[in-house]
Amino acid sequence: MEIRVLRRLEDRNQASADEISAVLKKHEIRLINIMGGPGCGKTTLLEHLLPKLVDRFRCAVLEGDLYTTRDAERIAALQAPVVQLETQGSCHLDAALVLRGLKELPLDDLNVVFVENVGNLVCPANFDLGETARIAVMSVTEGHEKPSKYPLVFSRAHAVVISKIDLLEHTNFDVAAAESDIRVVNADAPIFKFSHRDDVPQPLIDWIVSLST
Amino acid sequence: MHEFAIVQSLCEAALEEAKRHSAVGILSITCRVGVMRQIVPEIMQTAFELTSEGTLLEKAILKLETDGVESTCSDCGARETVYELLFECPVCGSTSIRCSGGKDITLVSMDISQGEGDGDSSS
Repeated sequence: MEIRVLRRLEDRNQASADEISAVLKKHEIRLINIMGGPGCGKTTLLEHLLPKLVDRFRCAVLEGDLYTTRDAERIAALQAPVVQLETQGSCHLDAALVLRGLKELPLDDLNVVFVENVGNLVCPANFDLGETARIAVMSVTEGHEKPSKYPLVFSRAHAVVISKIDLLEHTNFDVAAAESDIRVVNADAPIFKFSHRDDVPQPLIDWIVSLST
Repeated sequence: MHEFAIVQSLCEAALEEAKRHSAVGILSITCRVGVMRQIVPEIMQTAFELTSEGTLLEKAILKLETDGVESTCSDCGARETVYELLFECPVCGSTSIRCSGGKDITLVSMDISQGEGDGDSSS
């Protein structure tokens, strides 16, 4: 007997994601999920962002990694509280793991928690973390076709950072093509350009400051 | 490998529905996945085989359908549903398009047997 169900699947992750949202609300914390491929500059972006935010916010980082603690060590060197989320080979963070990490942080003392997701452009975008905002990072050395190859992460982003912009002249990266492809799936997200040689663009800092809890 | 998490949700939902309909067997389930989810059908099938083991879904066939994205062209105005990740208008080829949808995962239907009187010959 054929039965029509038409049931939209809630990610089984959703219960933990909802719990994270409740924790964030209670403690008035902004949770920012940073996603991008391996080596696109997620950790470097954080290394530049944290010192710029220190006057305004108390920040912490949940550092997602498959195995090593190298990125967590880079963040700890900035004197920011950091919790390593080791996924043991899993290619993304899920809400249950992030919730566990969040509970290890001094939540009463924090305003912003960054989550650095596992370097991967496909899987992390499928998992809602109950976050306030998502930033997708792509570097000019990866090529401008990333938004058209991995549209989900760009479509769900609240902001996009194009990193390693100082290397533009050494690549065939087409900024206009990248921006146009981002706009196909995402009409609104602001696009920021970043190089580790320069300061984090002020509009990106303003954008983070403008996020409401 | 987000397919495993999707299949886990799918199996949980299907087993719940089976229970609600007093199913004694499940012949097949049909799942529609948005094209934006970028699943690999072969991995979905492997995940389904592993996840369904030892449950009422063990012998069920997983049928996969694709949910398209709505593409709206700023140049020619065409509104089309596309079932692959195109970054140009399927009508005029313009790249000035906006895409939406194609992100849902839906348990569409199930073919179940409800014990005596219905049996495995159900259609």
